[in-house]
Amino acid sequence: MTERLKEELARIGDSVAPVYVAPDTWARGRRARRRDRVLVGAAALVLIAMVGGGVGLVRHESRETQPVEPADSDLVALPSRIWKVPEHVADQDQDGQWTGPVETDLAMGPASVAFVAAGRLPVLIGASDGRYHLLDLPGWLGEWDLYEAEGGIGVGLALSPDGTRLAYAWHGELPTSSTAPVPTGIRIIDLTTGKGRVALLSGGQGVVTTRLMWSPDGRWLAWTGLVAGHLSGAPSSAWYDAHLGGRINVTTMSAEKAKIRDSSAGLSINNDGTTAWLDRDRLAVWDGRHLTKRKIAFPNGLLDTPPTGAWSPDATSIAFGTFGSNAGLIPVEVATATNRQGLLLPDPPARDNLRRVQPLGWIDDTRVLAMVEQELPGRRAVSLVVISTPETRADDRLVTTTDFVTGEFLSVAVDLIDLDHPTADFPEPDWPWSTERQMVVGFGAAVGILWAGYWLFRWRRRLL
Amino acid sequence: MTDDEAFRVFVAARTHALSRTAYLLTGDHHLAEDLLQSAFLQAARHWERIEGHPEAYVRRILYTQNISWWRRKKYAELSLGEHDVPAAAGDPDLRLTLEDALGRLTARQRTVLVLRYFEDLTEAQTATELGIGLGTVKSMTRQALGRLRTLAPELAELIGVTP
Repeated sequence: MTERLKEELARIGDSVAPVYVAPDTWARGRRARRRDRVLVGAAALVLIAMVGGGVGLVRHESRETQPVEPADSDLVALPSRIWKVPEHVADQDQDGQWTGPVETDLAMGPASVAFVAAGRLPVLIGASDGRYHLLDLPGWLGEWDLYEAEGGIGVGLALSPDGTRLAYAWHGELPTSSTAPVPTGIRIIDLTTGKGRVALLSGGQGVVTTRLMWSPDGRWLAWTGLVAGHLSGAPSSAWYDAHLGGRINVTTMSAEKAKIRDSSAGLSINNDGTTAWLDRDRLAVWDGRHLTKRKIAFPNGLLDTPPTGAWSPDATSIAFGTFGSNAGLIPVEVATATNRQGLLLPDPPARDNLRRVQPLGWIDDTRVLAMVEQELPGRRAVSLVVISTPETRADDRLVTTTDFVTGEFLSVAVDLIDLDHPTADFPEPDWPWSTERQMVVGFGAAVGILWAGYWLFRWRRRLL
Repeated sequence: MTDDEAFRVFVAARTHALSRTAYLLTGDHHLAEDLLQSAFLQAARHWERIEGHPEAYVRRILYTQNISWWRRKKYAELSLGEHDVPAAAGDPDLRLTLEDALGRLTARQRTVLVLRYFEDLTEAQTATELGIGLGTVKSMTRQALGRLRTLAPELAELIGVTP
């Protein structure tokens, strides 16, 4: 019978056009080969120098990230630039251990930004000192390889609007029985005390929280997730059976669930716990008991599923973000499910070649802090921009630039923005050196030692 | 013939065939392109050290790199859509169902199926290529076919009973 499977696979294969192979592949491969040889040579020289005890010049950085400038504990602000965490710091080794200097003491004070770095490492930026904290979060679901079945899912991580609490997708101890479900839920860390509380989410073999969104006052947390048909922590082994959403009362840590059509629907929650999901052209509003759904007509046939939305301070509208060349903010009036203001675009230059606009939260009645992704020539730019509504149109302001290529997993403490002084300049973190950098410096040191030795030898011969 | 020329001849001759395998492994034209490009780059890098025919070397990189990429989660973004190549003869609905179901297998399950039923390797050869045990290949094949059957019962005729 599997002959038919072979035939169908062959037919699929036959329908594939040959892929494009860059003409400089050979040249790039050979350049890489030459670099390999240089590195091996450098490593050999360093080894020789070390055996000779002459590598005092080789500076081996402490594996602690260095603190930035002395902090004024009263000053809290967003950083004017968000640096990318190097991959050699944010990766996992073969045993699943983080390669960078991770922290387990989570009593680090308020943070301004949270994001998930390459290698799925959660990172916080200190609000008062701009220091980068690489976190070893207990039960962080993101460290598991959960992407497989859905072709690419995110795992929830969100900083509260005031920057004092961090919520993330959590898993407990794996059960001894392979058929028993994995304890899963959402854990909230108080960044002042470092203590955490868990709201359990049950269903299937566990619930993987994919998105989290705080209410503006930080008393509620909305979430979307996937009910796992299989979840074990083994690489690439999870699959999912259903979509789920809900909210958590942060004071009591009680969790409520609602069945939703798509866990990638735009998620938002207001100060009384009313939760809304925008799934393409359908706005679902849920107050914990009643679920109402309304169809929305968007300008220009928008839109694709936006990750999150932000309720306005007066709770009358929700600003959702959109993707693609039509990227912008769409304020949707909750009572009527209408969009009367059209698409709000950031001012140039943040308007050029837009790829995605995602609201992070309202700063006041007329301004929204948004993450803006742009597809610029030769590079992708991600920045944080304050966008104003048309009624009280003020100039939009670019407040923070980043080194990221996607802002999908970026969460910002919106309350920390003071429009007179929206950001502070903090220096780039002093990351531990990569192996390659250590080799290059070692090679330079070894060459220096040999050169000095040669001249010392010649000088002594002249003296004799 | 210089190494450079030999490499170019090899790439020109085998790109089409290797593209099919890369596509079946990834289920996405753009990922397939990245995967094959990366494998060719590795071949160019280690050209003088490749023993035997370079195609075997490139294929092994395709198989292992595909699994490794998914583990390291380099691709958090979804594909924008299917590539627009003309469909071949056959039952297009069945083929689309099969493609969709394959896309919901794990990378390891999918790779094992491609090696067994597209590359026509034996279980022992598959185990050698992937550096895993024979028993693992057998159980993974069984799991993959079972999962296909669960995901798309209409494929039962294709899949038959679990080997």
